[in-house]
Amino acid sequence: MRGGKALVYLTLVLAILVLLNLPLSFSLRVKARLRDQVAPLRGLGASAARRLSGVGAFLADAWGFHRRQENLAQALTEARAALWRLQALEEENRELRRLVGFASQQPARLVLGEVVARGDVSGWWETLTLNRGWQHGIATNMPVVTAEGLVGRTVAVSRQTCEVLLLSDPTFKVAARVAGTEGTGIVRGRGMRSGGPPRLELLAAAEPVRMDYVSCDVNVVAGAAVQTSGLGGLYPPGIPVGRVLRVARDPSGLYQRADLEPAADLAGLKYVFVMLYAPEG
Amino acid sequence: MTWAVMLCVLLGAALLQSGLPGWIWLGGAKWPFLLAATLYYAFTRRPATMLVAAIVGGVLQDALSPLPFGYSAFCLAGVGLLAAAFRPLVLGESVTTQAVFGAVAGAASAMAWYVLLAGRGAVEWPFARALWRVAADGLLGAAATPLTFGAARALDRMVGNVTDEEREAESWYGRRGPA
Repeated sequence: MRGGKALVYLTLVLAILVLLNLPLSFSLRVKARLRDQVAPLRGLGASAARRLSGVGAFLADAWGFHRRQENLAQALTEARAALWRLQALEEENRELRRLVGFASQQPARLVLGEVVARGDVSGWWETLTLNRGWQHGIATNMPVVTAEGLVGRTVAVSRQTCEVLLLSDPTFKVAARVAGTEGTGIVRGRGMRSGGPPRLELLAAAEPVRMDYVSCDVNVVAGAAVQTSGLGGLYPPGIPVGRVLRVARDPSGLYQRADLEPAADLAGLKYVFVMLYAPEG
Repeated sequence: MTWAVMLCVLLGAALLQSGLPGWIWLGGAKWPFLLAATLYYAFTRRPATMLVAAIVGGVLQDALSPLPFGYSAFCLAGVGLLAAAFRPLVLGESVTTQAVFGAVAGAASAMAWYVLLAGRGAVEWPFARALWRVAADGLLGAAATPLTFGAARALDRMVGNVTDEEREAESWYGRRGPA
């Protein structure tokens, strides 16, 4: 009996050691398969969260609604509720038409994805989960954009979903250029901060991202636009990254660094595009 | 039925942990329901059962995040074994005990993950932010653990798991004696 228990413990410890030492390609395949299995349930959760957000808007207007309800019949109350639903649909329709118009003007093919989850399950990275995967032509390290600008890049792709590392994540880096100058540098994220309009998901806005290694010879002014430079081959050139908020010389004195306001609203993303852009080489 | 209930508990915990937002004031920390589920099995089942829960929960957590495979299983198993070692000395039914263990486990696992991930260069957080995150994980662990215990216990009672398994686990600990 004791020998049997020891065998069980040994087996479990071996299982943990095997998990820690799995070949990368195999573990990625297993992770992708598990994500696909869980994806429909996560989509249900996102749908429930959107409905909850609508209830919140209704309660916020409750005082005005009760004043109006004194003078209105029950039929008018139901008609107003239906009107709210139709207005939400109309706004969503308008947003999607705007995105389709943006997509039709791009040289690279864009795949529209809906955000089904925000943040990874561990909370150590700034990520999104989209409801599009390799069956839609998406691969890892593809740029993710909105009509306003760069959002991030895909880091993990399964058949039906993909994880997007956001521009605001401290591990995200992109080669960029100050528009209208020869000044290039590396833009990296600095996380999120409290602030911005309140949302069910997050009471936060992206910290200004930091552009480092800009030559001291380049005249960078506040308000200047920053775009991807195309250097490195991971991102096509010309994708808006942000606008310069302030510039300062690095304490080492060797280069300038600039704080940028991200072009895209990273805290309120609902629909994004994955750019089917293959890296060079 | 224990295994079926365990799978439901772990899957529900993973979905809740994935779906609930990480608040900015808590450093983006997520509700550690998978950790709390591991603690539940550490307190109510044999260590072998808890290890299975830690492995399955760890695999789920790693699959739904950029964490390298095996990191979560390793951390959850470690935390679960420590909790199981203290089990004979505490009153596992008490909400206070559950909250304290959840807080300590949450903070300890957050520190372990930070050390592992920063060592690989997978996260680039200043140490002050990491400390803030450790404290936040402790706070959320204290809140999530009693909730998870209550839900898992209710599910176990519903299918009739509680009495037989707990009796067996208690007799197992009774033969070993306190740690």
